[in-house]
Amino acid sequence: MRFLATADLHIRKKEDAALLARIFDRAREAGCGAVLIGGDLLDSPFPPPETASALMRLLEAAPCPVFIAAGNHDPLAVTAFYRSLPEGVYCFPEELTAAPLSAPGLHLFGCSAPREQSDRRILAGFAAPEGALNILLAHGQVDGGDFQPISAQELAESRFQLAVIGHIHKGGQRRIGGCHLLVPGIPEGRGWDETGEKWVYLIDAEPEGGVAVEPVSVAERTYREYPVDLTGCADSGAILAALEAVSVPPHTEARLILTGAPGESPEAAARVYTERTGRDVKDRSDPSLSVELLRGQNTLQGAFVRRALAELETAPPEERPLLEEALRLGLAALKEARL
Amino acid sequence: MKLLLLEAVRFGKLENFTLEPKEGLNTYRHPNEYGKTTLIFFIYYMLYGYDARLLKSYLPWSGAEPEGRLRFEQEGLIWEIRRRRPARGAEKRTVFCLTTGQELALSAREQPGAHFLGLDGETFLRSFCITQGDLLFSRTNGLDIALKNMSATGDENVSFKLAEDFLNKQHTKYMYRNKNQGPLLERKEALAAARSQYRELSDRLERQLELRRQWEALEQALPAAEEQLQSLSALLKKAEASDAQKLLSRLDALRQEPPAPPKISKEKLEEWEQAFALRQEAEAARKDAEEERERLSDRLRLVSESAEQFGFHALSGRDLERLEKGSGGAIAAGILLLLLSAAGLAAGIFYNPVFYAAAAAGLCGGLLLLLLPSAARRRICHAYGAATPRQLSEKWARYQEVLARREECRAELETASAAAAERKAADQAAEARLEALRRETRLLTPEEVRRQRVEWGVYEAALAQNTAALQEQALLNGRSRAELEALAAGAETVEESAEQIRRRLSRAEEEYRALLARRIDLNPRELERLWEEQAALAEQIKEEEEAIRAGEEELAAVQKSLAWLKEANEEMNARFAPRLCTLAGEILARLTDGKYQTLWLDAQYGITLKTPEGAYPVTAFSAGTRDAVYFSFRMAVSSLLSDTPLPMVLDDPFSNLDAQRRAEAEKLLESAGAERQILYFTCRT
Repeated sequence: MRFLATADLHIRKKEDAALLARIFDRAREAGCGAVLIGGDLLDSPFPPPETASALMRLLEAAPCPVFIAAGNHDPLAVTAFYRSLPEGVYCFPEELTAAPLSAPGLHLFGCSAPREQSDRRILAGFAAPEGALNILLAHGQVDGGDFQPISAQELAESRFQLAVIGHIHKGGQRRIGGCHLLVPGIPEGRGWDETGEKWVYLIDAEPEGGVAVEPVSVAERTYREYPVDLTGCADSGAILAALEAVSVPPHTEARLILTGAPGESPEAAARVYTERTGRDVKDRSDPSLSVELLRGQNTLQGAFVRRALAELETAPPEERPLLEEALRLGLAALKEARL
Repeated sequence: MKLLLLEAVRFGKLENFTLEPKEGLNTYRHPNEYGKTTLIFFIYYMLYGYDARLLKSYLPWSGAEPEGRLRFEQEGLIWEIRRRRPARGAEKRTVFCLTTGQELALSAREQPGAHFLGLDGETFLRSFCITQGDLLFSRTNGLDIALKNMSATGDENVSFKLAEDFLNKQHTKYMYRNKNQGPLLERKEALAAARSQYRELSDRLERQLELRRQWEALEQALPAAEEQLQSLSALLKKAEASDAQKLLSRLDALRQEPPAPPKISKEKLEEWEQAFALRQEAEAARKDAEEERERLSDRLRLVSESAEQFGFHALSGRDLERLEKGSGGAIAAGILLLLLSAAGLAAGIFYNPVFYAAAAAGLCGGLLLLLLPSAARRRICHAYGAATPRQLSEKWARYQEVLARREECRAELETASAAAAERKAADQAAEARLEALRRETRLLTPEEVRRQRVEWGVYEAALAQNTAALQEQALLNGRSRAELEALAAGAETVEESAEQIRRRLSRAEEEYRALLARRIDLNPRELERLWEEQAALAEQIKEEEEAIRAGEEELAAVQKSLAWLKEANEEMNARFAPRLCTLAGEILARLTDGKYQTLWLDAQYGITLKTPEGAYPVTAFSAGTRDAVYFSFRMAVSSLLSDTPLPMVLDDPFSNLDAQRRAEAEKLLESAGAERQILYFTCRT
């Protein structure tokens, strides 16, 4: 049987429902037998009436059965929308329950989040029946986190061959014991904290053949950051030319991140670029000099840098950010201390 | 490093300007506006590239591209740097070793000056040139500060105190120095308050959810209750119609059949009552007789016990009589024997002692006869509880009385028992009669008989007074037949009566009213508002947690940076400052021809100048001396900053010295020229 799995749509405005429409279109094209939504279909348990109506119309016209596990943004106890779903759309209750899935040799289990905060262990002591391909649909965190946590051991012992777990927006897959863990992530970026490619997943699940997962994109826009090294750009003209040389594909929201050591402040060039293209520019360039050069100087600055570098060279990785920030602060202090 | 060629093709006011300095001191005497400062920045440009902050005003006046060439010697190799900065595009720069014929590959970020001298551009600029302006502030308090800074930091323009103050200010953004309070702690307190508020909101949300659940349950129950009311109301109407129909049927039945008399006749009822009364009497008489018998039986028992108490069961009256009589004869015989014994005694005395024996015998016998009966009587009396025979006689008399009473009791008991038996028989006869009547009439109790009497009363009254009409009237209960017929028109038969349905309807109405009373005034917007408020607060808490985390990390970084800065300062204090003072003192001694030789540095980096007259702070001296001190420090710092002796460019630094001092200073330059290349520009001839 073929599924389409996704999660974390966070639909708030009526326009956001178009994403679900594209997902259903994709499911229709791929001949899916069911769509699995692992939580946070809604961004709030109180969607505006027009959004709720639009969603309801989409669900009524879904190309195949839809199975939903409520998440922390649309918990079951609070979200009245889930109490009046159309036929063919099933929302899991709070307890881990088997869904009415008509597919021989396949079992679909799932549970909804009861409230916006829940630290219960949904798989504690649970084991799916043997002799079938068992699929889990839920909203939580695997190996860490405080929302409906699932440990790797619990997942390995649960006899699920596939677990679709929503909540974490950065998608990924891995194997834990005999279970293929799929964290779908958000299907489309919504802002600069959700950059990069986003996916929904086509899953072919056969009792004898196991599970095959293929990512497909339904996103109409992508957020992406482009680093631009300004080292060697001596003036604003060169900086502007470097910025304009960045090629941005269509349907991409781009933001340029300036790095390196330009000859002068890139502020003016960045402003011109933003006015021309409408794109945001973040300046992380550092026109100051290499600390290696300062290390050899017989000044207070040099002595300071020597100490900092000595500690940095032997520090474990987790302490490096703090030491680098201390070095930056000290150099800024010495710069400010200039009469 | 030794400069060999300075060729400013286009730079500031310089155009095709060439200078070829020699080793040692190069003195250039030119009027002002020669371009000395421009030349200094040209050297900077060639070694460190275009820095708009410093060189913007040194773009070629002609508007063309700046371009130049610098040739120098370092460690036996001759290098040449060429630069050209086009209006658009990247700068053109080459660093070529003329000695080896190889180009030095530097990245765009690396500058030749840093590569060859190990100094950043700013430090180089501070170190390799001394201008007139540098010494100007020696006329002010700036000298003291400059010297302190040079000693503490190696840079007259960098103040350790300012750097420390900057970091302390960063520290204070999070925690106040030496106090356990600060914005970070306040933020943590605010975060705790926000979390508490979140919990409270969460509780309120839970209560609202519970209200909504109750409201939803009520909303589901109310329609069902209303439906039930409607259903019962409809059923009530049907039941009333059905009841009317039933009543009409009953009324019709009344008209068709005459009333039937009660099944049991009045005579039989009377007989039953009499038998019951008789039975009551016989039973009461039997009980009385039995009680009397019981009473007499108890009495007999008591009297018998009383007779037993006397204990005369073995002694008869004859025995007692004989005892009394016997005792009198014995006493008489005894007295006679005593008399005889007395006679015998006398005879013995007077006649023959043989009579003594007879006397003795008589005496003994007489005594025996006297005493024994007495003893025997006493024993008998004592055995029956009497002290004396008289008492015994009296007791015996009482005993006889008791026996007589016992006989009387026995007689009475017999009579009572006979009476009880007689009455028991009468009672049993009455019971049997009553039982027979019960079986016959099936009336068990007087109450049932009375009800039959009432039935007879009703029947007789009905017979006497147009019975059917009365019953009909009673049944109609104030309504007319026509009303009943209208009500019963088209009625379906309903099993339950209207009264029963009315009771059910009443209960249903009560339940419905109770549901309405429980109806909650729920504002659905309140739940949404609480949710939004909670979500916003959660976001705020998350941001605050992140800000606090970042703040704590930043604070840790500030504290680390402060620690490093202090350690660096201590190193400078211990190592650099004394060396600097010593070297500066040596240079000053040469400059002042030995007049001022020793410079002291105190803990606060205050500079003290020792003279033959004493030690004084440097600010206490003349301007010229201060200039000399400053110049000495600048030379000393330049020597200490880099291992590679830097060329120095002096832009008329001694213009404020008097002629003699100036001559001494220029002599100093000559000796300094032996150690490094010096380009000395002055407008003084």
